[in-house]
Amino acid sequence: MSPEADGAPASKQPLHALLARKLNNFDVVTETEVGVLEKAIRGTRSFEANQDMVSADDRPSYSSILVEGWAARSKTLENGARQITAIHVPGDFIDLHSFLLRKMDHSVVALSACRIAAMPHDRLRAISEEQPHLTRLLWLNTLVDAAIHRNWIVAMGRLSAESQMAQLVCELYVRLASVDLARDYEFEFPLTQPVVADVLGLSLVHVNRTLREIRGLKLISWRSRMVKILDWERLVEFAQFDPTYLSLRREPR
Amino acid sequence: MPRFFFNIDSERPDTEGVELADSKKARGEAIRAAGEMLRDIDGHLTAKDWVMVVKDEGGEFVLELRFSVREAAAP
Repeated sequence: MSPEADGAPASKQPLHALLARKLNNFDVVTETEVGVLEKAIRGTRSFEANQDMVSADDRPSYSSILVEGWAARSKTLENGARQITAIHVPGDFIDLHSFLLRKMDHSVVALSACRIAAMPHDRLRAISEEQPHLTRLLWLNTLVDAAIHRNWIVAMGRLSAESQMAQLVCELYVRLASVDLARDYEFEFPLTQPVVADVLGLSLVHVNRTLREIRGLKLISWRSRMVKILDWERLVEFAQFDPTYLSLRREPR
Repeated sequence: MPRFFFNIDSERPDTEGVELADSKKARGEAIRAAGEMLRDIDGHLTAKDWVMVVKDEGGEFVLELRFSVREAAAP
């Protein structure tokens, strides 16, 4: 297993840096708080693409901060059909909720080679008892996860496949750019079309046709794992994308 | 895996295709995709039939799906 296989720029940063960077988008994270996050991390783990990082019914003793690679929360049905309910990128706390939910009701799977930093639940408990502001930021972090779910439900239920896919591209770009992992309207997109179908809840044939349509409209290009947004303003309008739900506004929390 | 092409009347031709295990899987995918696409049309279907034709890599016909509308003349 090679932790550097994913080649994410995150690899050169300390393990807590991206999470601190992410929380700092919500409100100023003090140096003391950054130090608390740093000290709460106990070790790392690496996963290969398609490996389960946390399995449904597990009772994890730590929560995982994604440091490198992309991961997904997913549920697989009895007939083998899979629905991905969230995509996680570096800096995300992929299972902060397992600290309080205890037993996992879904799996977290690596979409590309991944590395996580582990934060033991007893450290999270100490943070919740000693660091009220940092605790509120972690709480907000899970609220934003829920806001992303809400947005996906609306998109799945009421948007056309083209707009739904355009919205996914907008969201991922904004999320990656917010932790300095994307710029100039371009980002590495390590997903295959069948995975995108599981994200959007659409058939592979429809996803394939939707991609052709969006490319035909000169909104994005997607080749060899790189997505390039060709016209941000038009893509945003086409997707009906409003980033309010990502709460990327630094203000007192 | 064999590649199948899903062409819809009145749209750009499918030159890319999708890899699927066999024609049975292609049939299932076609029907599901057709349902999703009709949903996205959102009532804007004209009197003309909506048609999807599935062909294999050799250009051989696999399946045709046709959805037609018949309605009462406007009063």
